[in-house]
This record gives sequence, C-alpha cells and structure tokens, in this order.
Amino acid sequence: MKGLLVKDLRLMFTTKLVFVVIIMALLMSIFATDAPYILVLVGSLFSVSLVAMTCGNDEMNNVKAYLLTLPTSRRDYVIEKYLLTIVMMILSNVVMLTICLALAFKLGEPIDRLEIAINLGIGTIIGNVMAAAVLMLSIVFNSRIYRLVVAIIGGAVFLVAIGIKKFVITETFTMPQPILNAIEWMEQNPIETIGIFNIAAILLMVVSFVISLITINRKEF
Amino acid sequence: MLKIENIKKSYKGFQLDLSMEIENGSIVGLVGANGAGKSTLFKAILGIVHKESGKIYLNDKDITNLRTKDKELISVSMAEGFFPEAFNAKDIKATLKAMYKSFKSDWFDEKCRDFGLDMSKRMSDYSTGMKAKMKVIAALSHNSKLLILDEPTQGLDVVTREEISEMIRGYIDEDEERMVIISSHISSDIEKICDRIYMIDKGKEIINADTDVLISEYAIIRASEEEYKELDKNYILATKKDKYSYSCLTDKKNFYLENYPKLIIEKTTLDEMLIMMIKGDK
Repeated sequence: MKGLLVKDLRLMFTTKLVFVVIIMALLMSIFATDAPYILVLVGSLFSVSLVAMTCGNDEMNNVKAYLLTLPTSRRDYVIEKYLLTIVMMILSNVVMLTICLALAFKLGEPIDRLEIAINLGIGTIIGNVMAAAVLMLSIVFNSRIYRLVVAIIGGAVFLVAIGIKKFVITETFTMPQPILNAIEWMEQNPIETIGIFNIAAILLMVVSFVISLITINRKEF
Repeated sequence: MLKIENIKKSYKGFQLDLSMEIENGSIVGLVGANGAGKSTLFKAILGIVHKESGKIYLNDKDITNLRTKDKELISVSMAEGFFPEAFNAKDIKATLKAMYKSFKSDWFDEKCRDFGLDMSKRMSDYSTGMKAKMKVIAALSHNSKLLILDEPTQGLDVVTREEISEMIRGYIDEDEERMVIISSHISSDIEKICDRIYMIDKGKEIINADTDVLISEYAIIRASEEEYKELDKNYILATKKDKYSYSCLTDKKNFYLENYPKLIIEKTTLDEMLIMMIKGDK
C-alpha cells in the first residue's frame, strides 16, 4: 500500500493541480478584505477532486491493471484510495483553516467560530458524499461508464435542484408541517444539524467502501 | 517452475484452454496472431482476469493464493499498461522503491543512463522505443524469479531490440532459478532468445517444441499434385493448397529427406509455421 500512496501523491504533485489551488488560496488571502471562511468550505472538495483525478488517471492506459501486477492487492487498492481521501481531507482542512485564521489575525478581525464550524461542517458533508460516490463509481464501473454515470448523477442533481427551486422556494408548493418543523429546528441548532448530516455522510462513505471492496474482487482489467 | 494446468477462460467467441510448463533457467516464447490469447494468458497468471478453471503453480505454490509479499517474485512488462503518462523516471523509481524490498536503485539509474532515458522527462514525452525500454527496466529492477514480458519489443528498431534481448539474457544468467515467458510478434526475436516456443491460436496450443527442434526438425515440403498424392501424410501437421502445388508443414524433416529425396524441402520460419497452422488444413 505504501507504493500506491507514493504513486498517488507523486501524481498529485506532477499534475500541478495542488499548486494551482494553493496559489488561488493565497491570492484570495492577499486581496481579501475580511476573513475568507469559504476557504474552509472548499478544503474537503479540493482534496476529493485530487483523489478523483488519481482514480481517473488509473483508468487511462490500463494503469490500474499494471498496478495490480505489482506487490499490491485489489483490497490494498481500495483501502489506499479511501485512506488517501481521508488524510487529504484532514490535511487540506488544516491548511485552509490556518490560512483563514492567519488572515483574520492579519486583518485584526474577531474569529467567528460558529462561521468556521458551519463552513467546515458543510465542506466535510459535501466532501464525504462526493468521495463516497466518486470512489465507488470509479471502482465499480470502467472509465467510460464511470464518466457516463457521473454525468447522469450530475444531471439528476441539477434537475432536482431546479425542481426544488420551482416547487419549494416559489409559493406554489406548501410544505408539510413536519418538514417545516424540521427546518425550524435545523435553523435553531445548526451545529447539531451539521453533525447529524456528517454522521450520515460518513455512513455513506462506509457503505461505499464496503461496496468497492466487494466489487473490485469481481472485476477484470 | 511455472506450471499451468488446463487453464480455461472464456469470452464471447473465444476460449483460452492451455497447459504449459516453464522450467527454471529457461526462456519460453509465446507466439500467436492478434487475439490468440497471449495477453489473456498473462492476465490469468497475474490474476488480473479470473480463470474459470485450472491451476497455476509458481514453484509448487498455487498462484491464486499468492500473498502481496510473494508477488515480489514476479516481474511484469505489459503490452498495454504502465505508470501514468505524467510520470517521469524519478516518479517511477520512487514508486517501485516503495513497492519492492529488493528494488535495485543504482541499477535503475545506471540502465536509464545507458539507454539514454532522461530521468526528468515525462513518459508522455518519451518515444515508443524509450517507453518500451523503461517498461523493461522497471520490470528488471528488482530480484524476481519469474519475468513476464508481453510484446516487449513492439515498435522498436533492431538495435534496441538487441539491447532488450541482452537484458533478458542477462536476467536469466544471473540466477539459475529464474524463468522468463515472453510474447512477441517479431518471431526472429523469439527464435533468438527462447529455449522453447508455444504457438497458440484461438486460445489453444498448436505447436509446442524446443526452439532447436523447431529449427532443425520442422520444414516446409513443396509438392506437386502427383507428389502430394504419393506423400506419407503421417508426419504432416498442416497442408496448404496453392494453385498448382501443395505446401506441407512437417515436424519430421529428416524422414522426408530420406524417403523422398526428390521433394523440395525448405527450412521454415516461425511466421510461416504459424500461417500454415492457422490457415492450412490439418
């Protein structure tokens, strides 16, 4: 597994995507007039995108098939991808949080802990859900189908968003009382809400991990 | 020893059904047309595809039960499949070093230098020949017992092919327990370095013999229609009818030389044997 980690980390730095994001974060810091809490939100997304890029790369030119001829197993391959995602999410959140706090300190602003917690929480929810979907899809399907499935899911999410906007936000749709109560509770308890959603997202990751482990053993390359 | 016993793998319109043995210290060549099953066999050995039945033993150990540690005993260069194109030799070296306990770092550097491979250049910027050399260097850069080479000389010039052949010979000379299985479309390369040759077609073995036997015993008989009628067909493997004559492949050249002195009996090549076995009547 050490070899797979080395390969993926090298690939991340070789593609220079890491540097692009760091430069963007630094630019935001230079021109910011208040603490850019958004950086904390994008940390997880950025790390998942990097791991997804390594998955896509493995599908091209039979890289994955070659890797499985080396002293590594299919199980190691799956574990490495999920482990790398978690480590990258923690690392990028730490880096983004540091930049954010340093900027708040530089600007002499009071640190808004609630804002940080909410952004961090939402970031990890989206990151976990994205990772669960992308990693599982890249392992279950071959590259062509994988791209197609991602496109279909993306399209479906887009349509659902439009639907929600049309029926929920406009007044043509009356929401059932239990949902309205739930929304009210969420507004009053943002940290608890984010915590619950995070637990659900982590469970989704666990399910995705188990499906990936089962599926990779049946696959042929 | 690598022992393959009745290995079976089916795809739509194709079935691999093979048995073979590779002795320690030997180089075995696999020859066949495109789609004959060479790569499928390699993938089955390596567990990249799941075989339907049969057993594969490496030094008496069932290869399906090989642990990650045991995979260090195998070196592979695949026709399709290698490290990402964005990688340079340094990235490849770092990854292999983390993968193999017995990785020969200095040897890797030395071979890259000898072959003129720029360590900081990306694989995507390498020529076909450079990529092929890098694949073989990567495969040989650790201590293994079995070397699997799928089309290692594809697209290479004669000088580079000779250099790669030298490396393969060097690999086997270093340790008498080592063995090599190599597939190639270039039959002259196979003929030059292999001790034994397996010809396969549609997943099945059509010829299996020592290289020196193939060279000394196999021949093409050119016969007219009358000569063909008189010919003892017991040692004819395949026959191809031309416009006014017959070409027959035999594995008993001396029998026909002694009994049919007037016949034209020509030395044959691996390519010609393969064509006769695939296209000819058996």
